[in-house]
Amino acid sequence: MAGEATTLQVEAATSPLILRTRGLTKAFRGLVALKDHAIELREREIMGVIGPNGSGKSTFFNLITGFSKPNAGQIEFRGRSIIGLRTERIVSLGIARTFQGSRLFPSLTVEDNVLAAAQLRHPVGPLDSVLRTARYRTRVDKAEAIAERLLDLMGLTAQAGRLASQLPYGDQRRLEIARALATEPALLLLDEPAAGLDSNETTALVELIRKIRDLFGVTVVVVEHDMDLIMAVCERIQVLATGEVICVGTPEQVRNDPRVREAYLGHA
Amino acid sequence: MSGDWRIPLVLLAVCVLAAAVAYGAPHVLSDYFVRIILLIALNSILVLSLSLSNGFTGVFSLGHVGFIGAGAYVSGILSIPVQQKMALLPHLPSFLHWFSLPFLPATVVAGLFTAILAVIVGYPLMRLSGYFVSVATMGFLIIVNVVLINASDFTRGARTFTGVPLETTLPWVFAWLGVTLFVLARLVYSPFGRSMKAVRDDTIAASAVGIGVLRARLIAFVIGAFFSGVGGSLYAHYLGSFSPNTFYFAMMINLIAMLVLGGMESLTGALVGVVCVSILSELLRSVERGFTFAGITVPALFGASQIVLGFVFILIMIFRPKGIMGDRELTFGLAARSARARKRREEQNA
Repeated sequence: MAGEATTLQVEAATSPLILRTRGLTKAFRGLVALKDHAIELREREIMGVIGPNGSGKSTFFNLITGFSKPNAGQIEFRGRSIIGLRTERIVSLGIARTFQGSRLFPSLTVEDNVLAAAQLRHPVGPLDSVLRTARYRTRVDKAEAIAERLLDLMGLTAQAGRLASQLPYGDQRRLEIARALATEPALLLLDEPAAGLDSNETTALVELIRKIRDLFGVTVVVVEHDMDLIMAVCERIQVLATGEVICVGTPEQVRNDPRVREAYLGHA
Repeated sequence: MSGDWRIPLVLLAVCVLAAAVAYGAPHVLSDYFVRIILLIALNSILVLSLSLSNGFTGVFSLGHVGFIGAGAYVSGILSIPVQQKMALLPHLPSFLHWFSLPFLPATVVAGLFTAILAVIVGYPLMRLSGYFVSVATMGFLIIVNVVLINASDFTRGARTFTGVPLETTLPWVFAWLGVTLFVLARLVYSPFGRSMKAVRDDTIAASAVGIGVLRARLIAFVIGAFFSGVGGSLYAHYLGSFSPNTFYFAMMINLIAMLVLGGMESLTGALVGVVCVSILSELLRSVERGFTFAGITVPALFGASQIVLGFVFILIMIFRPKGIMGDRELTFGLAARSARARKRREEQNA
């Protein structure tokens, strides 16, 4: 068991870099949400980012996905800077995310939620749609095949025709992951995926995250409060506190780091 | 191909029926009824053009009547016969004096003109959401009205614009309604339509799955504006004479009431809204003149129709806040997409 984990880490450490940030800083009206942040993510690794509330975890995701612009610093995805790019462009380069809580399209069906994302790689314009060209047919079929496969993987096939807003919460979370995967990302960012799940669902989520990495070869970053999930699924963990990186290492190293305890428990 | 074999048959039957009504109605029905049918079809084009942005993309525009007005004037200026142009519009730039376009090309040019106008207006405005875009597009409507009143070389200003040939007949309106329905149905029920609805539901989630929010809104706005311009041209050739205030707040409120009552998120809902409001207001109008039924005489109550209509609007909004149809389509059990999905699922199970 321990040996298996070590092999994985060695593999991860030698695989190429996929995302690198340096000196990343973001302040909101003087309040520094993230300061001098640096991270290096390798292909196919599962990385956890933890920290108390307000430590800058979500800011980190928002900066990478272009929802907000950093005041300083660099973000390189596969060797190219993605700073200043619009979100939809960053997504098409291969970074997908889920949101805290969840942000589905409530008036669309479960299937349409995934299709809305799957059609990014198989686009049909308005003219193709009106004329129903041959290209329209093949691309729609491809997107539908992807959606079908993802719904199957998430165990949502039976719910395909229901409105997303009518799904139970746990299903909504999995649907959001399916939707993110439908954009065919190389880097998947999960923002508190275990929030609101019971312990059985959390255990299943650990399996699901591993399965996703193995099936799609994606790099996964998990931002989470749930320590059990983080410790179970992540190969490396970065700990943030008040916007700064205080520790990076394996779950074992992080667990035993006195700075991490201090950040969580306060000064003794 | 996949799909239900009955659908082409039903569409064919609808087309034949529409053609029969278009060509037969003027011989069978009185002018009054022909006029009501024509106005229902014409308003359907306008309400459908509004549904694309307001209903399906979540950009609640109050400015579409500005496109209708612009389309009406552009088409009118292009199609007044050359002999009359000198007299009616003496200060028109000379290149517009030389020619006059037939009905169809004038209508297409009016649509293209309003589409280009929508690109220019929409590019800054489609960044706005919610109430902000409503107020901003209303600003556009006001600007169009002021321009129409003041560009008197082109529009005769606040005076009646007249001399437009009366060419809007039932076959023309039905044909354009068919084109509008065809284009919008294929757009709304396509991946592009799915992007529009995703943008309406949640702009942040939409961009997180790679949908260009501005692009989706702009395309919906521009295509809607094209059909508004076309509808404006049909209106111009129906009325013959009109003024800038024909295309102002009263028309906007009328169209929006029809859209909201019928169901903003449904194409057939838009049609249902137009038909219900039109028929109801005509019925009430004839009732308010007073009548005698079974020995009871009801005196004339002018204005009562407006009160009843307002009351009906309130009731519908209370009991069906998403309109009569909501987001459902009247398909009479002939939904192409669900049939295909069902088939696929059956294949999987087999």
